[in-house]
Amino acid sequence: MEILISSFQTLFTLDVLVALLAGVVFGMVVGALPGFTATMGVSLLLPITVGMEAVPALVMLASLYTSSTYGGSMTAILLHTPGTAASGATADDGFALTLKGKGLQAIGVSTVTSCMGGALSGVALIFISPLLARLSLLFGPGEYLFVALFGLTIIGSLCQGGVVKGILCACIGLVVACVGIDPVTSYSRYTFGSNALGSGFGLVPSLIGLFSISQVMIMAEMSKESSNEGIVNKTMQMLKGKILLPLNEWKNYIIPVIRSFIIGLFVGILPGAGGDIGSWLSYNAGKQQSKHPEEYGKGSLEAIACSETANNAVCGGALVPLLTLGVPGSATAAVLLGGLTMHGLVPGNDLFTVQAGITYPIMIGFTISNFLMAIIGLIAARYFIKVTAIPVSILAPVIIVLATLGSYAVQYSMVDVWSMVAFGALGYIMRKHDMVTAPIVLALILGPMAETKLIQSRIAARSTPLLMYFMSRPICVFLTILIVISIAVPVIQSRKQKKNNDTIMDEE
Amino acid sequence: MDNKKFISNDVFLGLFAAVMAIIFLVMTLKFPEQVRLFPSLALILALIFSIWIAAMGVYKSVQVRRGTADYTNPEMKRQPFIVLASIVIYVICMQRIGFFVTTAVYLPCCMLLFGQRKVVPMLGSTVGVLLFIYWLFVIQLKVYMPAGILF
Repeated sequence: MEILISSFQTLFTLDVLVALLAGVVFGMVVGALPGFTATMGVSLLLPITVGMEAVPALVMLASLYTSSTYGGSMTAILLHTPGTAASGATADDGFALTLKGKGLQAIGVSTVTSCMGGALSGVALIFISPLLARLSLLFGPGEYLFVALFGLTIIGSLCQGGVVKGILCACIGLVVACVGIDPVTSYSRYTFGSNALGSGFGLVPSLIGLFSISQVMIMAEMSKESSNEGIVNKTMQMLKGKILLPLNEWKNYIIPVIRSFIIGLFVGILPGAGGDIGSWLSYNAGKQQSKHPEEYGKGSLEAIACSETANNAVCGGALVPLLTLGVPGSATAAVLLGGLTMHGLVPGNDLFTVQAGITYPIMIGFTISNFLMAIIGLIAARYFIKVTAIPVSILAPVIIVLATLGSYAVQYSMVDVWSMVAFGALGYIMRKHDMVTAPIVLALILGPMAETKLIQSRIAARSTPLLMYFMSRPICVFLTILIVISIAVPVIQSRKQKKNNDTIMDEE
Repeated sequence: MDNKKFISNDVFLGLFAAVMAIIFLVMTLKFPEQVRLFPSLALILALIFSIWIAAMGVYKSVQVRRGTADYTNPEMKRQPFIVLASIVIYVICMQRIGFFVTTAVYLPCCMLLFGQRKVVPMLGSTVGVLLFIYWLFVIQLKVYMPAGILF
């Protein structure tokens, strides 16, 4: 209780509140821009947080994570263009309502339910995480090695292009993570005699290159001048009525919101299953349980409540394994892990004991950011779609400049800027060949941890063969089973999907 | 493109990755034992999966040639690489001339490259971005910007 009171005192300071507000507003803008992801937003903001204290910095990043997920729903509802993948399930119902002249009400339901999902997941985060963190006290180097490997296996679900390509990306990331002077023996690996590569590739420039520069290169492929100013203005004229529904109508959404929150939270805790999976699962569950399933897809406010509650509940859920075990549940969580390590915070039990004064304000700040997001959303949601009218020709050059400056600002190093350029080119080529960049990021973060724990395990095992040593430890065995499942499930799912597609094609 | 001559890009991608993995593996074998263990494991896995991708690419190519599957290689356009080259030039100039001067010239040029033709938005956003960066990075965060021969 004491820690909660002191956390509120930490939170209600000017710098933290400004960071919170900035994170929420920037997140809503990033979410509203189609093609921009929460991951890209967090990676662009990461360098700005270098000079900040840990609490405001991480509160800003965490609030950006949840508000960008919500921001995606505004363009999904009003323009039928989901700003993020997590808002895909909202688009059909939301836009159908906009065409019926009920776009504002749809935004209202989306705003309130996103807030409920995010805030409830924040509360769950505050209470579940310390319990799970205590479990990490039972972990030795072997267990941590398997936790790192488990984290790497989430690539299976991150890779739309296929698990094999995903694993290759992770292997590339593991090798890239080895570049530089080995921390144990001080032996130079893959530096080719260059002092600049002695400390390896910086995490932040690599992230910025992989997510932001590659996105700018993808934008360059689009038409010369693309602005949807006309569509935005036309949609603005269609918005009428009150944004909030009458109080007595909200009782219809209590059960869907609770069910969707539970689904979203569990999906978030599972490594790799992001907001899009959470919202679709919740949408389908809502349709099965609904009194009016025929309205789903044709303009159902209940459908919007289901998908929007779940995708924001995923955000809090994804922070649980991140803070307790250091396993990022999604690409955005992996970037957030970069933010934690940048500020000297190591996931595990210490975060909830020794560094509780930092961790609890971050978790409470995350919870509060959902309410702030709702207030701003209710007041200004209709104006946020105007950001989509900004042409790519203005946006892309600004991103290049900010990305370059951000890469430089981390260590005042031009080597980092060149790393960003190289990773940008690599990221673009990978994305063009159905390879996602997230596994490289995960490998860059988890690779050094896995290597260190492997060396420590060899020392701890003494004369026992390493495999026997691992198999004599129950948690390692349990994690091995989880690893096998997390690799096998996406493979089985993709084969099943392929089989279904083949059957549909044969029938046609 | 003639389907009879179709070769999936995955073949080249897998082979390129495999060759790189072998080159790095040879380098790694010269490292001391403790240092080489982890990268060797990663490289062996990379080699296995590169060959797997190349093999899948061959299978895909055969299917397309037989007409049992429809697949096209991703088209690599020139524009993204022109943008990449512009970033390289921007970074080189930034080192020599300084951040603010280079950015003031680069932003409108890059906007032109992306197809913007209206002068007011170009200049307005350039001035706005420069002022924002100066306020945030120089005044608030006290970041030392890359300074070349000019400001």
